[in-house]
Amino acid sequence: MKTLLQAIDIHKYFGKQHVLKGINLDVYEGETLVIIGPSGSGKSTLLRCLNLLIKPDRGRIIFDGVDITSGGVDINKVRQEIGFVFQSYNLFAHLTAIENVVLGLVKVKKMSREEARRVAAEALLSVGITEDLWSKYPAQLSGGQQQRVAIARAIAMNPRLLLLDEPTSALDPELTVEVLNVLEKLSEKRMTMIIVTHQLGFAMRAADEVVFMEDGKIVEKGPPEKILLNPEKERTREFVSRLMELYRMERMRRQ
Amino acid sequence: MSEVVNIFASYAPELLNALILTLEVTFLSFAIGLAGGVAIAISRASTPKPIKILITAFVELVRGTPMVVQLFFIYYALPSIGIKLDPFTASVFAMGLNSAVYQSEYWRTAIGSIPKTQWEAAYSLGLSTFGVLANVVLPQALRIAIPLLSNELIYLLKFSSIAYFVALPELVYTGKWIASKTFAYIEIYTIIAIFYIVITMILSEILVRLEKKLSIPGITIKRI
Amino acid sequence: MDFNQLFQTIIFIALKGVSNTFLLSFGAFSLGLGLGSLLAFMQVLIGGFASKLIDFVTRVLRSIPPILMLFIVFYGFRINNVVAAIIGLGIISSAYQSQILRGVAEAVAARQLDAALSIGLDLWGSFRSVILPQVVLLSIPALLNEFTTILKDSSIAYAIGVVEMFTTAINLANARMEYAIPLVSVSILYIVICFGISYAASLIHRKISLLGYGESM
Repeated sequence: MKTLLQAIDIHKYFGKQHVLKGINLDVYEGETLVIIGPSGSGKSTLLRCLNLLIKPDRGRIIFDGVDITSGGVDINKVRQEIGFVFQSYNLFAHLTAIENVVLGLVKVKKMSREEARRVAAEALLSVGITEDLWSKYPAQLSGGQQQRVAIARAIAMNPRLLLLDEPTSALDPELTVEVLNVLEKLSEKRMTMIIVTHQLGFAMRAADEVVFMEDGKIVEKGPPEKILLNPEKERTREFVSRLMELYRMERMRRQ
Repeated sequence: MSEVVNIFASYAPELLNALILTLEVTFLSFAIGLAGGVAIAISRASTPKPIKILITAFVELVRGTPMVVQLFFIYYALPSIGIKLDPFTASVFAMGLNSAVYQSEYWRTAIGSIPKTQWEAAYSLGLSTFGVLANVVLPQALRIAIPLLSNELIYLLKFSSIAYFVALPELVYTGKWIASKTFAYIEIYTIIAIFYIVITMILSEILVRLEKKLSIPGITIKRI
Repeated sequence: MDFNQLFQTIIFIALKGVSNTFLLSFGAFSLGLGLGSLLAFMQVLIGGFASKLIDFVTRVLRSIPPILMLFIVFYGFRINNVVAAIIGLGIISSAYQSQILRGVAEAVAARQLDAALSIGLDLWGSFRSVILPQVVLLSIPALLNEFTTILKDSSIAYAIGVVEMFTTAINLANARMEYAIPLVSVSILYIVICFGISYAASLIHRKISLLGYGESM
């Protein structure tokens, strides 16, 4: 399997606070990698370091064989290849659903408007956003719809890698499902993804690898069955069992 | 009353010219202020420190002095270093500069109110900083700044009258000239005041409609 | 630039012009405050048609250029130029000050009126002992800013020959046939005064924020 992204000894400080303490991570082409861990463990910071929204203080990131942390790399070019989906959707508030998807295609990929609209329409349909919603503004869409538009905005750019930062945690449970279904479909199509999420059912079904992070370090990683059902480290076991408990309560409430 | 009608009838061409001059000065200086204001707001946020300090000093200099002083400086003091401007250009330039400083504050507030997450989302698509500003941040900031920009335009309309001091025949100057010929001070100044009141009302109406037309659900416009 | 000459010019303008600049500013501000309070509290307390009428009047006042207002008062009523400037600037300022006071009064009333009524005060009692003291306090920063606006606008009184700071500077410049030094000098004076007042306003604003009122005031 080919390595698409390699993070080597990533450190990040916010002032005096040491947020990432030497992260090493390999992501293979076509794999779905799920990161779990308590809040404040540095998951979001790590994700933002990978597309250089945050500049790491030490360490290197090799994307497709190129060290993107060294100077001289056009970071805007790299970001075209790495899609990002945010916890709070972050759709452009002044643009309609379809224009949100079209913007990057026209301004970054330099497509003609007709071509961009065609690509955008296809992306929107693939995440289940039907034509009646295309000309709505973000504020007029539900959270689940907004997040699916955000995913369409990212995948329409045809990225090599998709980073998703807790894509469902701002959503009501019933809206979570529609977003998770979209992500499962992407995973089946072998889109390379790194997803920060606490949806254990989803991780079990879709992840190739699960990483448990705590206090700025990777505690344990491995296939989902191992990390979620039979972890080696005590800390992982504690965290996963707590998540399992929440997951069970959640399911009981829904039934 | 017949006096008013008489004056109005016999000086109609002069009044019309004056009105056009007033509007020209107002809109031209607003345009200069708009371009300059956005430029100042952006460069105050992103340029290296020494330049930032210079710009801040300039902003405080303009905000701390009357517009008349600025106009006199440009019209009377600049010729001593070889820059001679005619009354119209000097007025437009002085007011445009003044407006740029005030508009930069409005734009700074508006740009600052766009969440950081919008920048992140735009950068993640691969847009450059300029691309993010032009396509994501400024279009949203514009909608937040519109009420403030409307006030600014109406303020400029009023303050175009300081061009009187450099003998530009705009409304107030023309009014004074007619008054000195007819001695009908109250009448002519009332006519001029009505000009300003009516233009202000028309402009306000247009601007409110523009604001409505540009409004987008979810982008809140703070009323002041 | 000759700093000695600049310094002397500043002193000259200050001695000759500052008193009239302050007379115009304080006079117009006080007139504006009196009229403005009257308008604002009529709007808040009476409401209805009176409120709409006052809205219209203040909108009209806010669209008249100060210089035109001075001409109307000075040439129209043929009064002393200092008095004309105070009246002209004061009337215009009343429109702005009423807006400031009304905004603050409504914001305070929205939060405090029910509380005041529920402890048994009547409407007038609530207004006098709960609303008014807060309105006075909360309006101070905005009113101080309005004062700096009047201070700068008072330079317009040059048009009707009031010898304040700006007129002094221009007379000096005309006599010397040199504009840069007098204009720079008068600018420095305006900036120092405006900065002092703005600084005081921001200090008071910070004190008020400590009392639990947000930025919106």
